Amino acid sequence: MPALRKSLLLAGLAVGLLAPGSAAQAQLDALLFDRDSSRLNDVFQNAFADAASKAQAATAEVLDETGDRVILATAVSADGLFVTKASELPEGKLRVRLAAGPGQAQARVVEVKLLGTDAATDVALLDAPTGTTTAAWARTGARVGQFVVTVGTQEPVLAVGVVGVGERKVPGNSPLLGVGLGEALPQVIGVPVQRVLPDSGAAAAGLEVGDVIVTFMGVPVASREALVEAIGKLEPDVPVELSYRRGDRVVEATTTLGRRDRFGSSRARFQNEMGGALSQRGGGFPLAFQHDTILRPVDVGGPVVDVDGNVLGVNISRSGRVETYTLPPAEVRRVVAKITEDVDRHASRQ
Amino acid sequence: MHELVLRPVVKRFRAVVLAAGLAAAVGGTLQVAPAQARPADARVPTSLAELRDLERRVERTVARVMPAVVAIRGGVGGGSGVIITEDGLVLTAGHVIGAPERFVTLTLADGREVRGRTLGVSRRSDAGMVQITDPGPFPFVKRGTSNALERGQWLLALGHPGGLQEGRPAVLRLGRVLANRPLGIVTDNTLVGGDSGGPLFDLAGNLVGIHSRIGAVLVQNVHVPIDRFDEEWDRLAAGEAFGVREMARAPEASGSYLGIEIEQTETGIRVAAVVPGFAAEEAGLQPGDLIEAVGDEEIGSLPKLLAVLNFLHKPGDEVKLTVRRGPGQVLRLNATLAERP
Repeated sequence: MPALRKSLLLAGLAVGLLAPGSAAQAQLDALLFDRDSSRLNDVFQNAFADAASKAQAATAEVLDETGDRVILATAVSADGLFVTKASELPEGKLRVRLAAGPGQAQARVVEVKLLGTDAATDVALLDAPTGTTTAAWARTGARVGQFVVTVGTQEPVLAVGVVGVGERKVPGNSPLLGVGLGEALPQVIGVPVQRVLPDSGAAAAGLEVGDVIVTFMGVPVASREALVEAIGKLEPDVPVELSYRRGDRVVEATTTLGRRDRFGSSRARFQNEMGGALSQRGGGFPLAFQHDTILRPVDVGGPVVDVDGNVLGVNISRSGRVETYTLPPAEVRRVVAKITEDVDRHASRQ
Repeated sequence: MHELVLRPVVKRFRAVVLAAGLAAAVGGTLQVAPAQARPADARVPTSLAELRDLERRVERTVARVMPAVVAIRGGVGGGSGVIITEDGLVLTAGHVIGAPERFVTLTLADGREVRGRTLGVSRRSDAGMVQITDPGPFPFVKRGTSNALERGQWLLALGHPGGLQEGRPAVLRLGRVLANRPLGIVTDNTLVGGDSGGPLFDLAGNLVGIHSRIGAVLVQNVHVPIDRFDEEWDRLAAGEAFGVREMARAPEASGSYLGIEIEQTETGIRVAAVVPGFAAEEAGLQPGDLIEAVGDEEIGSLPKLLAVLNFLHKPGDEVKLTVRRGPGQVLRLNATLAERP
């Protein structure tokens, strides 16, 4: 009977997996997941192939040293200018793999020059020593509910979604020190620390509950509001100096401000990362629209098209479980013009 | 921990968000079309014309229902909700409001802030209700039914992911029904914290569910079926808090019993032994048979077999088993499930 006992045990284990609590429902959903009933349905995605193939030749892959894609790029001129996402570019020499054109069996890999970047939009402009095919850009802005198709290089349809929010200014990450503060005591300079977030800039500075922050960026801290305001004026990832009193000692420390969306609510961050990796830089765009397309960070940088194959914009970030952002055509043109002007000005000075 | 209640952003570390001048400015009462969800709503569009048709319906519906979507602050943090009567009755998730008799602030789609009071909370289904206490009329949407939702049916989700953001209206997500169970509609309309309490609509704009919780992958988004609100309506409207937290537990396994001992082998799910006197013996299952499907569900693993028997079926159900016996021989056997002894 050993075989029978083993199978009983197996059955018991499996039931155990399903029965005890919150993981069970998710387990069940995963087991019963049927791709055909989902929006990932292949027939549905392929229905956009004609539209996407119109922009496929204008799509390229930026490669790392080993030849793997780090990000996509979009051709913006017939003489080889591409835009892509600046913060995902590798150091050193840049190569792109162009989409295989009609009659070409093999996609070409060419070295490209980084002409410049725009910090506000996180756009980089690349110059390829070759002519390229450009796509037709949409004349009207993205509408809420409209289908958007992210175009790939190997296959035309990389992913499909709908526009969730029309064009707007997308807020950036607000800076965060990572402390919970009490009220300043009357007559005493400094604000007491009541909580320190793990992995935050505050934790890195060695701050502990009970410490009193006395100066921030060289300025005495008069109140909780004053400190919050001083932090709010800075950008995430900038180094800051502060000093704090512990017992009768004063400690000076340098640390880096975090990003509120990453550290401020670990639960929100956790939920957003459930379901896939996110782009390094996910917000702070002057003008972008939002859609629900499920992308990996390496799928960003390429064009998105409407059902007719007109380019609605360039994907600029995968920012959360429910958010992918795209720069509209006018914004792409503005940034390209800005970077090329900077390049020209620089060249004329030399 | 795969399944999380969709708590909004943690309040303590969240900047105060001021609602100002949202884009969608709509006044008066929302017109609700009497349209029914069509049978074709579960179909996958395959031609450009069909894509356009689906796109047009989504665009039209979102424009029509958007004015009734609200953000809720107060309660135990915040979330989303939807107005369903002209005088401002709001449906939301129970965990968004926490308890009855609390004061909350609601931000309407036009940016207006109004006051409200929480009514009932079902800890069982995660249904919740709020009454706007400021005078109406308010734009509202029509309630549909959820029991007839089909697998694959296209649905629209709206809400305020991450909490209300200045200048950002409710965010649309499109998805399809993956499973429709009494305790939750599962869709691939992706949700995140802050969406809780937000509405799920069919293509005709009927309210069919309220966002409740998410799982680890993008295809696990769970909504309270609108029919559950109907069942619990009187207690919700009366401002009761009731029920135990069933939604966070597994749905009760039904205890269906086929009467076999099974083992997972390289070739599949193999019947190791048949227990005399139960369904499997009556159906003619034999040791060595490989179970390939139960009804329409393919059985690729032992947990899946148990999941299908326990959660998709109950004792007394007649199920069709697809069984492979020896090379090339596939049998279809009928078995009536018994209660696990």
